[in-house]
Amino acid sequence: MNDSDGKLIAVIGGGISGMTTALEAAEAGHKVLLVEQEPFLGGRVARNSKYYPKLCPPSCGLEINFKRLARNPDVRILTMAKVAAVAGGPGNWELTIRVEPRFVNEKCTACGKCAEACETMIPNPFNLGLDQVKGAYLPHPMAFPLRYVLAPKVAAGPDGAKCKAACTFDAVNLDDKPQTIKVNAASVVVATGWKPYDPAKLGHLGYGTVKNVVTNAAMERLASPTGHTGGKIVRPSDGGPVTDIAFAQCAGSRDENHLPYCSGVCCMATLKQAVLVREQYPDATITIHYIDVRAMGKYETFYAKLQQDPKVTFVRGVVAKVSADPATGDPVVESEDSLTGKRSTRKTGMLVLATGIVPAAGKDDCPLPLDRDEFGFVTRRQSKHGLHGAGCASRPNSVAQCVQEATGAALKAIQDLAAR
Amino acid sequence: MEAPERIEPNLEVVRELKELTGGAFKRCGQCATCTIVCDLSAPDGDYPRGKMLWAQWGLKDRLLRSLEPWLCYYCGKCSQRCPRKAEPGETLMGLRRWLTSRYDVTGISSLLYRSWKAELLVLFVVALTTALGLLAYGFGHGNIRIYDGAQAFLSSAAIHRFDWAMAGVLTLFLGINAARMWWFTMVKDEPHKAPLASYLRQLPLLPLHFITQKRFSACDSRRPWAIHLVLMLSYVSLFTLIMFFLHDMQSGPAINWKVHAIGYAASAGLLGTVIFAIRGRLAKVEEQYKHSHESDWLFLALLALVTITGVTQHALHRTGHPMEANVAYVVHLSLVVPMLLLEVPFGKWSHMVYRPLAVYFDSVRRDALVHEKVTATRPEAAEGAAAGRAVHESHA
Repeated sequence: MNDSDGKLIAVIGGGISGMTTALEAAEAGHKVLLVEQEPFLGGRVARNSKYYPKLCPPSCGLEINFKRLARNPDVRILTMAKVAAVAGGPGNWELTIRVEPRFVNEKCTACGKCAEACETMIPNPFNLGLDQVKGAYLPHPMAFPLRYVLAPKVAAGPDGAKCKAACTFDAVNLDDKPQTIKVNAASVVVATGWKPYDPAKLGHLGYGTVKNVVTNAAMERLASPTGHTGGKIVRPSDGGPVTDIAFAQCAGSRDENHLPYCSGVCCMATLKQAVLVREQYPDATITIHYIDVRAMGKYETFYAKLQQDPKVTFVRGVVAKVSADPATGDPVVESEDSLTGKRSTRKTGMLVLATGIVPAAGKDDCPLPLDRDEFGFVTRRQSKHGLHGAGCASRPNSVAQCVQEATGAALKAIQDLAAR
Repeated sequence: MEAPERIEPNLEVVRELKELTGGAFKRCGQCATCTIVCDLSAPDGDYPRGKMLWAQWGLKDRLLRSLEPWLCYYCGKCSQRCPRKAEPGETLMGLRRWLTSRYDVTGISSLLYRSWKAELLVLFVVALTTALGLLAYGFGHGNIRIYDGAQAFLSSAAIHRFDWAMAGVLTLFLGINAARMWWFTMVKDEPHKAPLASYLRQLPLLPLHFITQKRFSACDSRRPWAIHLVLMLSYVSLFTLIMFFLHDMQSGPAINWKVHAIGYAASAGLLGTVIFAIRGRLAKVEEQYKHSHESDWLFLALLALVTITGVTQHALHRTGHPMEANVAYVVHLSLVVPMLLLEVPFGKWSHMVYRPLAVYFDSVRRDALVHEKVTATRPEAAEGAAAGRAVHESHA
């Protein structure tokens, strides 16, 4: 693809940051290639239940971006695609992009007949594997592009033929093969986003050993109308109502044994999730264990409002130990409130670990010669080489911060083109 | 609600504590992980977390009144889990050093802990004085070619008298320091002074904890306790032999096996555990061995040398080398005297008194609360909380 006289901006990652950079640059008149590894755009934001502080759903924001993308001919979107190799250098990065087969072409109308025909179930990637979905699936109701996907094992198996037979638009292509695309880009913006800190490393907080201990990322899916519970926040063990819930802040973050840095967004995420619990359960007891509540600037009012809730308790002391209640198996949470010097051992119905932000694409996932800090975040030191980080690839950011930073990255990329 | 109390940091104390602890406590963010992971912190206890805060503020009076540093045996779990690497275990270790220097009325302890050069110098001077004194005495009263009996260079009777005189001096110093510990922790500024009945009721704890270090065994890993117990029992055995059976140890050629068997076992125990501790401090794998203050090394080096020279002089004596045995004996005693003189009342070894006393006093306090129906919260808990709030607000 050399249709842009070499003046192409490649954006790696199609989450909120990547979309923003791509759009801002394209709307300024530049050619952009947007590379996304999932079959849809929107990434982590699409998986959120609601934004803080306004508590609007992620469709707000994503929808307008999808609309802008759909009508902008200067953005070429590759989904199910990853950068496989890099050559060239500053001013002319030669990217080799591998596109995985989707087995469904652009004729798809998202009618869902293929899914009806398909019998194979796979773990649902959109819901973090918390439930199962048909092997021929629409990633989520608001997916962009609005097009089904066939899991490779479905396409290769007997279900593939059934799906093809069921499709009345000739949209299923079982012969779809991985493709390799080469492009030359004058500027590359890395917006590969984040993933939650591996909760398997938080055994001392009961994850994986004590039931009803979940991560904040799973909590977003529980609270989301597009999630596996249809937005009903329930205990994973029995699907029962939440009468008593605890939040463990800094679960891995600000911890020299795990992530030495503050992940920045978990405090507000928890405060928001507490509000979501309150919306569904007016009488639920909510306990939030924290070191400092980092609700910056205007977010302070969100925090202050929750403090007025008589059934929300803030304990200044982290959850240091979690065990299973011998009778019910539910989490028993131990902490000391450093404001009173009082220790408590409390049984709770559900424990949410406010896990932090880790860069999603490490050295092995992204072959670009990126300068990274000790934690894997992309630094600013390579700006002069036409390589820029944006969003959570460069630091833990909120959605709003991601959008701002991504806009800044678009300007940096445009400057790279002007310099040529 | 009571009017808030203004708490002033004592920067001088903070500076002292930084020297004695390594200063990592400054990194503490009061998340209280340490309190929860501690196997020994009482259900109503706020340590190590609370002591970290007092150290940060240099709250001298509260620290002096606190028994809690002595209730920690440094298993190291708190330091392992501390999210800020603020070393609560080492902080409590340093607080024990600080308290030792504060209990000591002479100021010697403080000097020794502050400067290893000073400690080395004092050790050297005392060792030299002892050696010269022993040589003068030996050449004046005996024959260097004779180890035991009437003409012995250093007769067991004379050394026995010397041992008892020194034991008296050490007991006096240590007794005064222990009395000061009691004054600071149980009397001075104490609004609810424990009655005599509480002291009497809890008295059995004192010998129990001295001999068994039972509290130490409550830590998750019992290995450090077992090793410490071997070291301590070996030492006490040898001390008993020397104080009461010195003649049997030194006379010959017949061997009193009852005495010697104990002596040999104790020497082996001492040597083994000392080597173990030195290896541990060099390897720095176990949490309690990761940080070594100069005083720790000096103490271990002295104990190792004392044990080796003690064994050597005895071996030379038993193998028929009286002159060599006498020389080794002079060297041995020239190391024993400064070790005991410095370490027992002013250094690391004073913990043999302070630790059981702290367990005892802590029980006395609790006994008094129960029996005297003193329901008021201990004041430092409330003040600690106030300080905690102040810190929190300053962060906010």
